[in-house]
Amino acid sequence: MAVSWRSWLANEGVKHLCLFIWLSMNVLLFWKTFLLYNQGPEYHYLHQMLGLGLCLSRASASVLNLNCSLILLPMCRTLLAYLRGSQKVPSRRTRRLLDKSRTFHITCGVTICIFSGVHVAAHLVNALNFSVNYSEDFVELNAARYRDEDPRKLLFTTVPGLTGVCMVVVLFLMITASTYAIRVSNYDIFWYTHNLFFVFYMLLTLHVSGGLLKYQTNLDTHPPGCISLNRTSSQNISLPEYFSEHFHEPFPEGFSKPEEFTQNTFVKICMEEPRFQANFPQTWLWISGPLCLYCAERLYRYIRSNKPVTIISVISHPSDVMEIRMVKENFKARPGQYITLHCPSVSALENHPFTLTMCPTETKATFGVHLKIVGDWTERFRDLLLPPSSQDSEILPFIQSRNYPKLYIDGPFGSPFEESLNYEVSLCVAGGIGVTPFASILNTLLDDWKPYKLRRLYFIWVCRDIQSFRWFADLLCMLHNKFWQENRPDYVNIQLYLSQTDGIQVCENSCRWFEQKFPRGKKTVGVFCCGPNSLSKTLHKLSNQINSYGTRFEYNKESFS
Amino acid sequence: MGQIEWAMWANEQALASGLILITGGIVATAGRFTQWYFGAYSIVAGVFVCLLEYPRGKRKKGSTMERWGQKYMTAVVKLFGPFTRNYYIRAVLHLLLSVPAGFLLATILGTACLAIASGIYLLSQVPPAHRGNCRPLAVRLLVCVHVKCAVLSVYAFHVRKWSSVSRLTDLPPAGLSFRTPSCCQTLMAVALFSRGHPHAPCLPAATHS
Repeated sequence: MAVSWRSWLANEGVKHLCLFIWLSMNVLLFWKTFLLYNQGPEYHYLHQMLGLGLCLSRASASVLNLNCSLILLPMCRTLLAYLRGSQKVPSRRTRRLLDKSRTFHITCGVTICIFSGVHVAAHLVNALNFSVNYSEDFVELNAARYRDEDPRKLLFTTVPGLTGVCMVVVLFLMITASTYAIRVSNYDIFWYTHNLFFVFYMLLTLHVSGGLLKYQTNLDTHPPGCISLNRTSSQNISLPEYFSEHFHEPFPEGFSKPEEFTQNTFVKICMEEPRFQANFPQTWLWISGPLCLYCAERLYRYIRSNKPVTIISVISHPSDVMEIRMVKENFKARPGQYITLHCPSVSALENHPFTLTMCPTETKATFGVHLKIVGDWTERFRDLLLPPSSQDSEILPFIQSRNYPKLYIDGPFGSPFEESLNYEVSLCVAGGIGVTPFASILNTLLDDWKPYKLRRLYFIWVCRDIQSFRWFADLLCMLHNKFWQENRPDYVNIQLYLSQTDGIQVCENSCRWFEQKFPRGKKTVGVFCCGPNSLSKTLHKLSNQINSYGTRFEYNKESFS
Repeated sequence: MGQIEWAMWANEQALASGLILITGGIVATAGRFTQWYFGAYSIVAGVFVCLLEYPRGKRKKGSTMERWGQKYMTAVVKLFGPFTRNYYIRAVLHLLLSVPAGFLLATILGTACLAIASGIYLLSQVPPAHRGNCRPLAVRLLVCVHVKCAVLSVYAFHVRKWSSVSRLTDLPPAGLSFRTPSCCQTLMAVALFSRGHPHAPCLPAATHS
């Protein structure tokens, strides 16, 4: 089916505009820096020595400066959560940009990877040229100590060289562990090596302090390419002979005397020897702000998560799901947000994110998460909280509350699902345990639905096992009863599906849904999906397609790995 | 930490190292570095390493994400039997291949990266029981020992973006019968919400097909 330009613009427009702006900044920086080193008079002699390698290395360095500073910003999760919830960002379109923070982080990472390759290759050629084109005229411009010095010595005995090699190794470890296959199968490797970013930034601050590349400071007294009279007089060469040696063209017509020529042509005379000075490390200016911001955010998160929570109850649900209800002083969260759990008794280093299924309210401080037991961390955590004998039945182990391990939480952090209450009509599609963000939305509506903009919610939940519906059967029933009693039976529209062996059924129904089920007229419907990639891709495509009623579907999704 | 499959990471590293060797070799040969023949060697070694490492090995636990078109290379790699199957041999091979490239400036980084990949392959052969005994500090140092510089402190938190939603793609086998739920509320929920309430108002949005 054809794409609806209104829906496409709403879903993809702002994202592509930001990408275009970012790309333009990169191209502009690259081009400006390239021209500066290629044509700038202050780098004339350096360019003569190093050639194209100088321009490429510096231009790629400026792109690296920009991306190394931008890459940290999407990882300031607390700041992003604050921006999402505050009135500082009133436009929903701008808030939806925050959903793409992880994608932007990856884009900057890939750019850093590519331009690091260009930078390293260019600097390797520069090292060779420093050695081969050692300048006896401008000794302070040289990085080599003598002509034909081994370029490998330049690499390993200078601060920029050594830190550069170390940075390449660190980047190599980080990049190889950040591929999609590794993230999906061995997230531990990805996380441990990604923490090396701090080492990378420390090395970067040292790398730029070397001052190997210098610019000329006295352009007015020594224009590049000028004739040095001291040299000609010391060699006892008269000016006309000098010109005849260096300029093979005959004197232009109209000049009868060589003296007039020297005064009236573009050739300048050097008043003094060139002086060179190392560039100020601009990288410090680029990265200091975001790095300080990120460090401040991590410190704040560490202080905030230092106090353990009090576990109120642990409930075992079918299909390997466990619910934990807890309280913590001064903990506030919005529906749709997630927290990370850290249990030192299970693992000293690991934090695991879980979406809140119940948020604290003004009347009730309890909040909760539902955990699906899939990996070694969740298995060990379940064994600590629930003894093996009671894992098959629903219990409320009040007696065991004294034996609960210490649990720390970090967060809450924002997610796209917070926006579901800000549309008049929302469609929420969940796959299996992906129902958790919507469970918190439903719990919030159970508490009080009137303050929110939402007037109709379509909720589709697909599970593999019919037992899974028991996770929130109570909630769905209570919600349904509440709306019937308040005479709003059409507020929530719930559809439950079981996935069969021939595929997930919702794909067939969703086309009809998009065509028939929504109110006619030019309305905007928020579409939220938390489930397998195939499901979300289909929904995304459908959201961009034309429908007969002119309804615009704004697609929102959270990316997991 | 004992559950990490290091060989998978070593495979990614070796593939990346092959590409770095090829790039360094091209720079050396095109730039006419002295001893540029090491650059030519580096290109050949890089191509060989890339072809050897392109097929992603089967994981011990869980499904393996194959690279596009890897089955053709897998058939060739399998022909060499234990020489390619055994990770000890692979580690030694990578170490030996990386040495000549270390003599040239342009390819020296390829040497370092391939040597690291060789080391990770060796580590992958250490039994999990011994790996699990490593204390967190030793683990951090193990990663940092590859970094030839002063080690700064590594953050203590590890965030693992967990999702069991992807498990839904593993569909149940055919013929599996679902147990009837004992909880009557589930039956009510499924009945009520799937078929629509008899008193539902006649709004287009509320009707079901």
